[in-house]
Amino acid sequence: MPERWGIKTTSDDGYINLHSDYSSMVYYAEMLQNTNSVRPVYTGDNYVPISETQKTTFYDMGWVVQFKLTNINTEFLLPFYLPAFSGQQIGILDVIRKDATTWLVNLIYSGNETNTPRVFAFAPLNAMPRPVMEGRWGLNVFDQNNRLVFTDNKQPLRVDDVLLITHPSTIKTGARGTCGNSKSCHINFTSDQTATYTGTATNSSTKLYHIVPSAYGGLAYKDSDSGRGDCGLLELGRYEYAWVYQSWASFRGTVGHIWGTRNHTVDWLSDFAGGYHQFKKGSCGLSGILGFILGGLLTLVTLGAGLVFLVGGALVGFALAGVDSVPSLKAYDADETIDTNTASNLIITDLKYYNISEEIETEFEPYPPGPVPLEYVYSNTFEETPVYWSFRRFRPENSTLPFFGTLEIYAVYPATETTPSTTGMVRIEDFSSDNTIESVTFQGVTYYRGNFVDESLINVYDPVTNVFIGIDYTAYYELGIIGTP
Amino acid sequence: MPDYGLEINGFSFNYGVYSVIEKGVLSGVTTITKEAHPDIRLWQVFFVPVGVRDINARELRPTSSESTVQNAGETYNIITLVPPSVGTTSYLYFILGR
Repeated sequence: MPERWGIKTTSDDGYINLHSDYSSMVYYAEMLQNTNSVRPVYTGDNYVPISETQKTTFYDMGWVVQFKLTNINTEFLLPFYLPAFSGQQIGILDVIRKDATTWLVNLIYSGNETNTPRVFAFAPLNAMPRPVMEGRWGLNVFDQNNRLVFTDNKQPLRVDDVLLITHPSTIKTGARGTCGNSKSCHINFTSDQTATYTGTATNSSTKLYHIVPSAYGGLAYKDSDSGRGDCGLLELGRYEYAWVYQSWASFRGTVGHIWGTRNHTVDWLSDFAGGYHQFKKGSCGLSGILGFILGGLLTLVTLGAGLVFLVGGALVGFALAGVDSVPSLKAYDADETIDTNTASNLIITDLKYYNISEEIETEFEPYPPGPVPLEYVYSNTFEETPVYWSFRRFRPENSTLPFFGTLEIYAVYPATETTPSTTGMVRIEDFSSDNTIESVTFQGVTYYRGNFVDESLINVYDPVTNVFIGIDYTAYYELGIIGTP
Repeated sequence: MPDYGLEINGFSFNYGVYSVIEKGVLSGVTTITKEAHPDIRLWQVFFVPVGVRDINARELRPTSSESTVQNAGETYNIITLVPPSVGTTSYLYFILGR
């Protein structure tokens, strides 16, 4: 055994558990939901309408959502998820370092929109600033380069199981039906190819999982026809026609974990789907224009930077964090799977090891989802004690000046065991005119803007001359709060 | 509760805790020699893509493998990390061990 310094412990199974040459991977914090959960579909030219029910029954769509963690200064991050129910199919799509202190995770999940998983961030201790992590008492361990590698203020990653996962090489082999000259027809793209892996640890409602599946792909259908139709007895000759129908479902590899068993099922969920249909018809009596009709039919749309708009704004919430944080989408024109041969490691731990609560600690529906300890209630009567976020702006009539705005946050802090309830208004001067702010931290409390509730437009008159001078506009939103005053 | 071992602040070190043996941004073929870490007997490799994965570019994931090499009469066990052959997404790698 080479001469070493520092501290080293060995577990009862003979493996190293703590070694001052190596950093712990520690639990840092829970990531917060940053967007609504969406199921984007193509809504560009000649699109085939897809209802919410059809997204499930025909296109096997999962919900795409983004999580965010701020105030973490690390170049390395390992996200873990907690499923909302046994067997829930989940796939981490992207892990994005937005800036020096902000990370984003795009994720897809099965079930209902409200079955949002929870996401937790783990990071190497020696990759974070020491003053943030080092405890003031207890045990702190440093490596030979004076980097903190263990502190008893942060629980290190304790692993229950690790296993390699690969996805099937195909998404669907069963019948899927056909479509023709119709704008209301749908192909059944529901995946039917799965696999099961058995590990050594039993899954439960408290297990956390990390895996970024490598496999993705798509299913597609296309048909077209052209010909001549009869114009009928009263019209001379025939008409020429042509039509094209095309639809697709893009898929990502997912993994589900069956509680009470050691089984993990690999499956597929669609992250983007769509279809388009076009029919063109020539005039009666005219011939020789079929080529013109066929040339005018829409070809498959190549989605790129404009995809945010082609999916009807469903991904706008993601784009607010930056266009470079929007999940990549693809419209397939043929069946294919990619990267199914590359195995990914699934690592399992348990939230109990890190004192993470199994329940989101709030009595009320939180916004954004996560540990919101305070109540939020909006009332526009103002006779009750309101809790709201309002953006107010005023511009004099005929003024060329931009709007100026005032952010007013009015909150009620509920009673605790030792303190009575308190109320207060926080006013934050904001001189932007477009009200794009979604959260603000003021005196250690972070306020989040929720759903729009109401607005008011008040004409303002000079109190002396009674001359109309401008419009006072106020928008009211639900409010979520993290932190206490 | 066992009568031996190390427990700190309620956390017992009798259970499987992985340490970060190596980490980095995968920028080329990268090799880790296990013999450079003689206390480590279990090894796991994790790749984390950083950034939006471009599925339109048919991006692939990195791969890892293990092999043995002979050098000056000594046998060395090598973990080799290979960047993807297709795609530009940056990947972090974690070599966790215990």
